[in-house]
Amino acid sequence: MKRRQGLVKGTTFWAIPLLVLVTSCKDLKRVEEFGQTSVKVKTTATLVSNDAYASCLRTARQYQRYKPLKPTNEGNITTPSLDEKIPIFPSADSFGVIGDNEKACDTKKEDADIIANANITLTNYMEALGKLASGDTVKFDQNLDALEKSINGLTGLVPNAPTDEINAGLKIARFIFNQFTLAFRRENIKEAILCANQSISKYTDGLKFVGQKYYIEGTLRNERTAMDNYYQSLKPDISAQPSQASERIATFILRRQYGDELVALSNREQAGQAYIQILSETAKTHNELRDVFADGKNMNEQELKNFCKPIFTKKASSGETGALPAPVSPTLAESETIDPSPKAISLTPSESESIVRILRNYQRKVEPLALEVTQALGNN
Amino acid sequence: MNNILKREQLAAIRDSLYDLIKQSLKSRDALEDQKIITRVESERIGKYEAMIQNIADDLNSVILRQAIADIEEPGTKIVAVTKKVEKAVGTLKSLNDFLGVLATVISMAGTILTAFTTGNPLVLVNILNQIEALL
Repeated sequence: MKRRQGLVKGTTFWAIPLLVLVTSCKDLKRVEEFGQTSVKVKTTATLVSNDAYASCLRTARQYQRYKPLKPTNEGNITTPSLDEKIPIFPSADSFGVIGDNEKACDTKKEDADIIANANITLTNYMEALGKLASGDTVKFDQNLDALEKSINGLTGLVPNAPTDEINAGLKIARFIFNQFTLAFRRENIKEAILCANQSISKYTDGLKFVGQKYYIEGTLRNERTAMDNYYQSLKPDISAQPSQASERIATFILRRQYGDELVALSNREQAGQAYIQILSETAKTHNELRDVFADGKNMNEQELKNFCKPIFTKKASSGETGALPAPVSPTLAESETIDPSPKAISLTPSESESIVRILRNYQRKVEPLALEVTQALGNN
Repeated sequence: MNNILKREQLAAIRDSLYDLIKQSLKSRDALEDQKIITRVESERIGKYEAMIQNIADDLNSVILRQAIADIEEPGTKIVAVTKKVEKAVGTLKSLNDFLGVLATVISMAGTILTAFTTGNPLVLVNILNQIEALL
């Protein structure tokens, strides 16, 4: 449904919608900024997913934790499953040499890709939202400039052309264009946020699980275990000879090295936690945006289902191919009708204030976290 | 719900494997200090710890795939919404392209011009209608 600006008499006409325009602008601006935060999610997710693979290599190279080579099908590394029989008493041959360990890390490389792809689903969504909110695809200024030029061309032909009024008219046209696209953009953003919210919540939960259970408690735990074993094996053998000075020095150096590597691991854990935190903040902010765009009406499960039906049911529509749709005709698309009665834009100033506040808080929280992750994992 | 339990259970199993290794390492270290076992014997136990560690590490990758499978459904929904949003972005793009059509630009220029020369508010309404028809 489209909204049409009702005409109000006199000069107050522009004052009221101007206020609404400003607040709608602010609220869309915040969605735009939310979309830009996808960059932070992307970079932290990449650091974590890269480390899932790098950790495997470190474990092999530094701690000489040899992995037995798995039997591989030609060209494919078989996905490990619980059903695979792993020999209980391996022979010495079944431990590969260091060079082979790079191949043994191929599964972890796949893991890294899986994680990266999963995060892309989220960041694509955030970016699309941001793009729609920003409206930078609507280069009205360019076309209105063209309009201005053609009018200036016209005024040369028309004597006594009221140029002041024409320029005022252009400003009005620009304003009206913005107003309509604001409504269009806001409606689409509202629909997207309301319909995606539950899914965003579940999805970020899953990604958080990956960060916590797979990366921190799995990948890093594995590295720590290998590290402990390695340093254990370097401990001087006390049954061999009485402890010598050189051995004491070696022990001292090893202890310090061990300490340093523990710190490095701890930094990585913190980076993983910052990633999890960013995901939490993202879901939280999305929730809050949903509350604002819900316009005070809380739909129940069934109402929401009906509201979102057009998006989630498979229709033979142009949106299914995944590519941008072919240019739509200038007539109304998707059998939308113009609502003839003038309606106010529904976002109140206090609503937009709360959006501004929510998104400012979000940005304030996420910025230092992203910095933390970058610093911790960046200095590899 | 079942799947969430499953991945949590798998993670618990994996954790206990690592705990087992940790305990084993600690124990054989102590036994060696007490000269109950030799270094060579201790390292032999270590080899079995390595085996268990490989199982735990492989299990980790299984857990990841389970977790990702768990969020496939919301993931599909997010992709659907993203497509809708991108479609709206495309519509705006098309609107913009359409506005670039010269005839419309000129006609609107003419209408605005007329509106302000005649001071006719009805014409302003027509402008609004024209613009609305573009959307």
